Amino acid sequence: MDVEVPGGSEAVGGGTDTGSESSFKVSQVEIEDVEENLKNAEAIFEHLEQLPFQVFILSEFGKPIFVNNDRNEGEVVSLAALICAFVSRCQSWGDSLMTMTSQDNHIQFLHKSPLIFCVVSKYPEQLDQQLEVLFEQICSILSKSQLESVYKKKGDNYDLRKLLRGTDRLIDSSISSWRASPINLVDSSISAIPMNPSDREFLSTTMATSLGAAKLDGALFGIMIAKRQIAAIVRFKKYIIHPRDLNILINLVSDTTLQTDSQNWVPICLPRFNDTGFFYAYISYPWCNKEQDVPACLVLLSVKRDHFDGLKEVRQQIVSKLENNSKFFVNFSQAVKAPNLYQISQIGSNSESLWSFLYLNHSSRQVCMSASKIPLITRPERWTARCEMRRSSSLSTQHPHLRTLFVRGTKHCLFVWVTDLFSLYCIFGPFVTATIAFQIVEKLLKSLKSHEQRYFIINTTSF
Amino acid sequence: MESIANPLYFFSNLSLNPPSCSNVVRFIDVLEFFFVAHPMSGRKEGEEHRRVLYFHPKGEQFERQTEITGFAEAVVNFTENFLSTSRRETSVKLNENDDGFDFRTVSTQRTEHVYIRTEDDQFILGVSISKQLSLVSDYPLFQPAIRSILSDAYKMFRMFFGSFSSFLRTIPDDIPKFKERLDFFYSKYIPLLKVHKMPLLDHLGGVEFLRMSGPLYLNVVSLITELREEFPIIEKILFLYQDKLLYYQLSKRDLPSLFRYLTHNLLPTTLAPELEHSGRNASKGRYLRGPTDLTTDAPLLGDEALSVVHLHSEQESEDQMELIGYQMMVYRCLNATVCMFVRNTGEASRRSSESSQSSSTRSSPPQNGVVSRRLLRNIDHFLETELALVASKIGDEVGDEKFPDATDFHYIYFNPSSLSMTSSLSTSPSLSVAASGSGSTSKVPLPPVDVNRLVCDTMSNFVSETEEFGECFVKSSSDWWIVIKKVNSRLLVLILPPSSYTSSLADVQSKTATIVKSHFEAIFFS
Repeated sequence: MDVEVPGGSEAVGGGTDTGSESSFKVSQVEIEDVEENLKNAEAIFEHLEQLPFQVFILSEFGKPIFVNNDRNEGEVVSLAALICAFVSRCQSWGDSLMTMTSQDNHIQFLHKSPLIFCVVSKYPEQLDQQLEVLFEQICSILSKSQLESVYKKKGDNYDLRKLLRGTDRLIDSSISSWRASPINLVDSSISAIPMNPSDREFLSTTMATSLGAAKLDGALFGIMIAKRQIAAIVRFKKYIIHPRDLNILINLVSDTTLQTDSQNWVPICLPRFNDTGFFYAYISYPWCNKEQDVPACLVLLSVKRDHFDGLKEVRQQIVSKLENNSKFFVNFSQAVKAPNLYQISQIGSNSESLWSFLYLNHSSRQVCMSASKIPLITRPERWTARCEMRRSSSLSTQHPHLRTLFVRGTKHCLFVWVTDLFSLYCIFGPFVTATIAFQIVEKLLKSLKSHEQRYFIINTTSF
Repeated sequence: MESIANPLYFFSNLSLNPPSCSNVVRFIDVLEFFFVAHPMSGRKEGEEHRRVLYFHPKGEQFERQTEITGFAEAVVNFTENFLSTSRRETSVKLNENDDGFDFRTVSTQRTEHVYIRTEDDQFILGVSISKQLSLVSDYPLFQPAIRSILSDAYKMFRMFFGSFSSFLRTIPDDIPKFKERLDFFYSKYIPLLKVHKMPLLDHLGGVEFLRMSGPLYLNVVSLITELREEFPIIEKILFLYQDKLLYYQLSKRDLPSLFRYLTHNLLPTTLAPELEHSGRNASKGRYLRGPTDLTTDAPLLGDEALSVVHLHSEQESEDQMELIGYQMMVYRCLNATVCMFVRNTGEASRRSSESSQSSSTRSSPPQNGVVSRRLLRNIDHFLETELALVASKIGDEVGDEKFPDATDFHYIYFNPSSLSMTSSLSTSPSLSVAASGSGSTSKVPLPPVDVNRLVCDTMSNFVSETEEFGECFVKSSSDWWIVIKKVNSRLLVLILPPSSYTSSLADVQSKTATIVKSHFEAIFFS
C-alpha cells in the first residue's frame, strides 16, 4: 500500500529526501533570531502588531514592574491601574479573575500576591502556565520569601524595578521562548542533545566523578547545556531538579551577556526545589570564543556561597578530562555545534508523508522533536506546525480523557496519540490515510525506542 | 398587566423540570445573572445605576447591579486597547453585520461571563453562568454557545418589540416604558429558556426541515405561489408541518428566532385543544391567533388584534438594520401551519406594535394594521380546501416513510447555507412527540458530559469556520469516538458509543462511511 503524495514532483522530492534534508538543516532553537528583520520603523511596527504575547507585570497595588511592549509610560500606568482594578473587583466578589477574551485577543491574569501578571495574546493556549513560569522566573531572581517581605518592609508604593534591575532581558527571553516552543509543555519538560550513548556516558561519568572527588558538601548538581538543550545532568545522591527549574537555568545561561570565556558566580533561586533559598551557580562556557567555539555551558550548582573556588577546581578537572579524550571531544563538539536531530527519513519507507513530530515522555518529562524537513521549512511554515501542536497539546490538557485525534485539513493532517506513558503529536501531509498514519507512527515509536539513549537522557548519574 | 394580544401571552409554561436523563437544561438552573445595560444613561457620577435597564435576578441589590454592569463596561473598554488597527476595521464590519455581535467574555474561578454589544455599541447585554451549577446540571460550558444564547435573547426581544434604540429615539423619557417592556419580556423568556446539554446545537442554531419527495414539495410551492398571487398583500411566508420547516420566504436572519417561537411556544399551546377535539372538524383549518369570529366586520381590537413582529426587509445587503413591523397570521390545518406576514403600514412600526399590544382605545380602526376580518375570511376560504389537501398528502407521505431502525449513534447535521439542522440530541418539543410518535429515536445512551465538551472544543480548535472541508476523528478514554466531517461547508458530527466494532481509527473510518451512506447520502455527498 503506497502512501499518496501530493503531486508527482513532490514524490521525487521524497525520494531524495536525505539530500534535501541536509541542504535545509534548520535548527529548531531560534531564540536568537526572533529580533531579526527589524530593519526599519515599519518593520518594527509590524513586528509589534504581531507580537504574540504582550506581558504586563505589576504589583498588586497597581505599580507597573515590567512590560514588553513599547507603549508610553502613561498608557502603561493606566493599563496597570485597570488590570489591578479588575483583579481586586473580582476578589471583592470572593472570586478570582482568570481570563478575558474579545474577538481575537485572549487575556490571561494571574494574581500571585504581591504580584499581578497579565498577558495579552492571539493564542489562547495555556497562557496560565506561561504566567506561572514568569512568576517562577521572578522568584528565581528574588526568591519567593524575599518577594513577599519586600512590600511589607518598604511599603505599598515600593518600585520593585529597583530590585530587578538588569533582569528584564531574562523575563524577555523567557517570553520569547514561548514563541519558539512548539507546545507549552516544553516549559515543564526538557530536551536532550542527541549524542552517542557512549559519549553521553563518558560525559556524565566525568562530571560525576570530578564533583564527587571534590567532596564539596552542598554541591548538588552539575549540568551541561547547549542550544537550550541538556547534554548531561548529574546529581548528588537522590536530589532531583524539576524541568521548570532547569528551564530557568537554561534561560539564564542563554543570556548572551554571560557568554564570555570568563566564569560567572550567580545566586539563583530554583522555586520548584526550594522557593525560599538560593543556589549559587558556577556558570562557565569552557570552549566559547576560543578557536573551538563550542557553545556548551557547564553549570555547577551549590547551596554554599563559598564554593566558588572549589567549583572552579572541579570545572578545570572536568574540562581537562573531556579535552584529553580526543575521540570524545571531537564527537562532542560536533554534537553540540550542529545537533544531529532526529531525521524522519530514519523511519524508512513511507516516511515522506510524515512532516514533523513531537514526542513527550511523561515520566522523564523529556521531549524529542524531529528535524525540520520539507515542506515545513520556512518560519511561517514551522510556526503553523507549532500552533497545531500547541493547540492539540492544550486540548489534551483540557481533556485528560482524550486518547486519539486525527484531523484532516486542506493543508496537512494532524495525528495525536496520548497514552499514560507518552504523548505524540504528528503533522502529516494532507493525503495520508488514517491507516497509513498509524503504521508510520508505530514505526516511529519503534525507531525512537531503539535509539532511546541517543535522544533521551535515560539515567541521571549521581555522585 | 398587558393586553392578551401580546404575543408573549403565548409563552407557555408547559415546561416542568426536565428529567435528569433529558438532553436539555433549564437555563435558569445554571444562570447567575443576566442584564441589559445602556452605558450612556449611567455616565453621570452618582447616577451609574441608571445604566441598568434590566437585571435578573430581580432581587439583586442595586449596588451589585451597578457593579456588575460597570465591570462589563470596563472590560469592553479595556480589551479595546489591544485591538490592532486591522482588527478595529473588522470589528466595525461585524457591527454592520447584524448577526455577528461584538463580544467579550470573562472567565473567573467561579463564573463564565459573556457580554455582547448591540445597535452601534449603545447597549450591552450580559450573562453569567455559574461553573458550579453547570457542573451539577451536567451542562458543559461552551463559550460560543452562551454567546449565541445571549444573541438569541436579544433577537427574540427585537422581533416582538423592535430595536432597543427605537425606544430611545422617540421621546427621551421613554426609558421607563422601555424598562417595562424588557421586564415584561425577559421575566418570562429567561425562566422558560432551555439549553441543550450538547451546546453545539445552541451555537449552530439551525432549523429542522422536513424531508419530502420532489412532487410533494412542488405541491407546497404551488400552493404558496397561488396564495401569494391571490393575496399580494402577503409579503413573507413560512410553511411548517408539525414542528418541521417545509418552505420559507423571509430573511434568513429572522428564521431561527421565528422558527423557535413557533415550534417552542406558539404551536405547543395549540396542541392540547387539538387533541381534545380530535375527530370533530379535524380537517377544518383555523387561525391560531386573532379573532375566532370571522363572520362580522368589526375592527380587530384588544384580544382579537394580531401580533406584530419586526422582521428584516428583503433587501438585506442594502438596508442593513431596517426592521419592519409585520402583522402575523398563523393558520393551521391538519398539522400544517402557514405563517403569513403583512406589512404593518401607517404608523412607525413600534408605535403600532404598541397599539396592538396594549388594548388601546384607538378611534380609527385602520390604524391597527391592514389585516381585517374580511382578509382573514378570504384567506380562510382559500386555504380551507387547498391546505387541507396538501396537508393530508404530506401526512400520508410522512406516515408512510419508514424511519430507518433506531440509530446506534448520535449525530448533528448542519447546513449553514439553508440553516437546516437535524440532530439526535436536539429537543423535541412536546409537539412532535405527541404528533409523530416514533421519530428517529436513538437507542444509544446520551453521551457523557465529557464527550459533549470534547465535541465542542474539538470543533472550535480544529474545524475552521472558514474552511469548507475538514475531517476529524477523536477518541476519548471512555472509548466514545467523535467524528466531525465538513464537506462543502456542510457539517456532520457523529458521536459513536463504545463498541467492539470501533476499536481502531480504521474501523471508525469505515463505520463513518457506512453511516453517511445509509443515513446522510441524500443531504451529504462525500
